[in-house]
Amino acid sequence: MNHLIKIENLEKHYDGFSLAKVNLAVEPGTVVGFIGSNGAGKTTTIKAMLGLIGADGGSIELLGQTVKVNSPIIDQLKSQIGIVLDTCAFPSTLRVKDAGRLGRIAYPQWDSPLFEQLRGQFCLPEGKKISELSRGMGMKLTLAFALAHHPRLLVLDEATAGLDPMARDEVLDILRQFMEQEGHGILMSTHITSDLEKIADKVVCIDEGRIVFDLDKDAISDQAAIGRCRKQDFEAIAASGFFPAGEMRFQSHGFGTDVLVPDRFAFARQFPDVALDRISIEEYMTLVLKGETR
Amino acid sequence: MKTMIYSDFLSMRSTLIQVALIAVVIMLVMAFATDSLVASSAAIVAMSPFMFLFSVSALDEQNGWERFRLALPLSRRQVVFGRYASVLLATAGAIAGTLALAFAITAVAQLISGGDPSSPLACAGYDNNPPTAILACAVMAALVILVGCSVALPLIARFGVTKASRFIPLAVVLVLAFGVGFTGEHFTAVDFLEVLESANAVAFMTVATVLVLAIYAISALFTVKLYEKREL
Repeated sequence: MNHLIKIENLEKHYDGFSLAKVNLAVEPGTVVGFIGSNGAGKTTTIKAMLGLIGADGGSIELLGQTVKVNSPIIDQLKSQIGIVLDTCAFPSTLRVKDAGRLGRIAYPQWDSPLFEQLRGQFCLPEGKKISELSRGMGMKLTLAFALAHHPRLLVLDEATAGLDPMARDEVLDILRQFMEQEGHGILMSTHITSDLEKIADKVVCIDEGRIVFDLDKDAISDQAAIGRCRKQDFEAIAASGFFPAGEMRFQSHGFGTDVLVPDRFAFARQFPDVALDRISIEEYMTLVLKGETR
Repeated sequence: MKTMIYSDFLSMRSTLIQVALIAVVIMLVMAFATDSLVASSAAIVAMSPFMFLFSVSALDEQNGWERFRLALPLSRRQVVFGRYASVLLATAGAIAGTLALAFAITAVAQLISGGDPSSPLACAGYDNNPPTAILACAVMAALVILVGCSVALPLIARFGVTKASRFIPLAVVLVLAFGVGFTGEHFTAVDFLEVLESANAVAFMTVATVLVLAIYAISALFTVKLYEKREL
């Protein structure tokens, strides 16, 4: 089976920042959430993937084809990819309807009725100038533009940022509809991890240019948990050998210590008196990135 | 390349209307200030492509459009060639629009003044503004400005318009000064005017056009190399 995206050992070096052997894959039929703090390397990875910057090492496959910067293949593949970057990127002098005109020229498989349908659904007046659109409306326009050429792969970089909760749900519904079609996939870079709880199949976290975890969402939502420990519980857990040395992640606070539990069933069997709560993707990420280890 | 040209003109639509209105005002003011449409035609033709180039390049830097555009099915080569084609079309449009305006003004002035040299409108009539002189000066102004664009476009492709605008005036002045200095030894402004009035005018302008288009094409090839290495 060809991956929609397969990045292996991607390296990119800048002064003061490097992507270090980043691996990332999006299989058909999956939504992959790409998370991490600001400056962690998400956008750099996406830019390298799209050929906007050159890579210093590693390999990138898009839709089953190996790509490099300026290779003719990437230009052909781009017609099968929908991109939503973190801003509405159309020139401010254009109007909403001009985006449709541009799409008709740029993409051979542009679907004008679909663009018009999405424009109506998103309440985007066709005569409105890009400079007059709110951030949320701008993102909706970019999403309509990205979907109206029937891409196989969507790459979203902070696409739901700036949208109110109802609009975000609306966008997520549209993404779900997109995923109903066979062979489609989404790479969704976001800070709003609650969106990923609703739609992602996998979650990949990057920090300081390195992938720190790459998990099925169910491994976080269903299998992992937070152990709410009192001091004596924490010491008992630490001394039990349940966690290999250096792999117990925790955060202490005034009321006790929160421990990241990768397998709540095994943990509950061994420590039945320790309270376990479900863990969100955000809590999981925070414990992995900011937690202490022991 | 078609996408690039289309997007350039689509995003510049309102600006082009403003430029056209400004051009009409400038032409009328200059025509009556200098008693001639020849100089004002050359000025309009020289001004418009540069305004187009800088305005459209400024839009590239707004909202990350330049980056997003490369996420469309467009290669960097197509982006560069498309931009060169847009500037060339804008220049051709400037020549056509300027000539149409100048000829319309001379025709109206000639009609109203009836060829009377004492009429206040005589300065805008045929005698002061021979069509061949207007045409020759408009074309030559366009050629000079295309040389300027040949210098400016690689700098914009390499640095973006904000950074490049620090170097472009200097680079353009140096190139033009070098050109004038080089040709001036053998070919003065008086010689130039004589050639334009001679039977060799068409041949001279054809050679100049071919030469400038060759410079423009070489500049485009060089810009592709620069833009392919640019990280966005």
